[in-house]
Amino acid sequence: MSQLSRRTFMVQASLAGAAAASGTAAVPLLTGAAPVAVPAPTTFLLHVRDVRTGEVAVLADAEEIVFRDSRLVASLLQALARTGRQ
Amino acid sequence: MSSHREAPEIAKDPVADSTDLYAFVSPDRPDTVTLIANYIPLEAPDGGPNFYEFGDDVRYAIHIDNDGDGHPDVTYELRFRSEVHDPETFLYNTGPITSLDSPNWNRRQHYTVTRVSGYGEHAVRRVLATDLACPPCNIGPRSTPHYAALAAAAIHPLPGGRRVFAGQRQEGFYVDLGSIFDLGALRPFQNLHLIPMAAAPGINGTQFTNVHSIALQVPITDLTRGHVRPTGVSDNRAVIGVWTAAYRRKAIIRQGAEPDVESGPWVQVSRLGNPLFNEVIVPMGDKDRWNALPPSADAAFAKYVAHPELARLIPVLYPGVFPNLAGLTAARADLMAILLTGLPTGVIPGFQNFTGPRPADLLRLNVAVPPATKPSILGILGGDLAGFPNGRRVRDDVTTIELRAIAGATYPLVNASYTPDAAAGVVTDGLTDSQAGSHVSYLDTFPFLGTPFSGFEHPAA
Repeated sequence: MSQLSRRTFMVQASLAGAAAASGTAAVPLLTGAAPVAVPAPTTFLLHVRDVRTGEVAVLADAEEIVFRDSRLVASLLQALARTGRQ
Repeated sequence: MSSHREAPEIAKDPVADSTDLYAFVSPDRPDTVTLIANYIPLEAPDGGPNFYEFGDDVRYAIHIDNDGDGHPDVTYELRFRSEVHDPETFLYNTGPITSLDSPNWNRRQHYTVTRVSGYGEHAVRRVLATDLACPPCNIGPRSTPHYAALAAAAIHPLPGGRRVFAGQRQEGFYVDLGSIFDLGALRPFQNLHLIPMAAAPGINGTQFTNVHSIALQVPITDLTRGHVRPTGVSDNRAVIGVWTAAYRRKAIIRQGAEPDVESGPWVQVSRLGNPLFNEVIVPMGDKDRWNALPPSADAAFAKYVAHPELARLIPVLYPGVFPNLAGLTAARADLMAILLTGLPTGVIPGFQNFTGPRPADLLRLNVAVPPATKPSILGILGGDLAGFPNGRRVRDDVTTIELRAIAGATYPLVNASYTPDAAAGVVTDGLTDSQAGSHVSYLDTFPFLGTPFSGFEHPAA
């Protein structure tokens, strides 16, 4: 993954402030990630690859960034529950 | 078929389904190599009003490995863009199309050609040309009169002495599909089949169909390691390995009436090196996985080459005809060499196309072998070192060549004590004769595959 793409994603407010709750594999954590002032994509896709571990993939342009963020996943699950889908 | 609809998933995605791959030293320009990758199997010539076209959402690639590691050292990539001139009509064309900028042509495609050196993070990309025109499909004498000239205008020069064509062509691969897929029957020998019927001539199951071709003609020095033009067949820099692949974005969001959103890395969905490899060698449960992997991962499939299922079936389907093949239980080192490593020096006098020990399904071409003055459609089996499996030319009868090889005809190359069954040297699907080219028409110059059949003159049966 390119550093440019990583920074591009980190600038997103919803991700930059998120703290990972756990993780033992090689998938990077976002704890302490600081926003960087680079242009953000107008649209990107988020794929929760594993709810249990909080592993998330973000797809934008031709890039894919994989990281762990259990807090983000928990928030998404709560949103799903609020819409009655869980 | 060669690689038409050869795996369950890609059979549902025709625009990304590679059907045939050709690579040969160009008889019209012997200092160049012609590379042709075909996509979209079994096009019915009258398949309108939305006639066939490349996928705008597919990345098409022809890869060349020139150092034997199964990774691309040179890649040509094509991306297509479709446009509609008049969205108010349902018609493909509103009058005769007599030029590539005809206002009567409603839906057309253009493309970009990019050359990539290396791969992965070290790849260097160079756009060679943009907005190159494809020809239209061959509709009929009213819509596309003078089609051959129209298509010839779509042969575009590229920098560095290269040229490119992308568009509809006549299917050049011939095979008796209907018979072979009916429990391995070969019509000329079906009187000897386990379920016998009267012997009969072969029938070309792909006749009167079209494909979409990506054809490139590039200097030999553009593809070889060190950019040399080897003159000696034994020079290991003379051998290149070629494969084609198609890629789609990892994710797509369908939004109903709004345009789809595609995102993420390009993911390989189709691959083709040697004809019939995924079709006949790889079993059903592994075909989709094979299509998703690069040639550098082919060690995982070597067991299917060493002990091919078809070699076990042939003696069963033709009882008593292949007794020596039935007793051949050793690993097929001949097929491993032909398909996965290339033939090393000393196996065939005056020839080698060895790329090293790493097994990879590559169409291997020794560019130091000049075009044949009297080609044999049986290639090396016919004594013609310029034909398959030294690359592949458009006329080569790859079905018969591979049938005979699997039936044991090539095993003496690695074990001189083995005597092939007499049938191994004559087995064919019935389309192998000196007039095999008459089943299909070809061109003597680039892009070599023939003018596509028009829908008016060759409606689907």
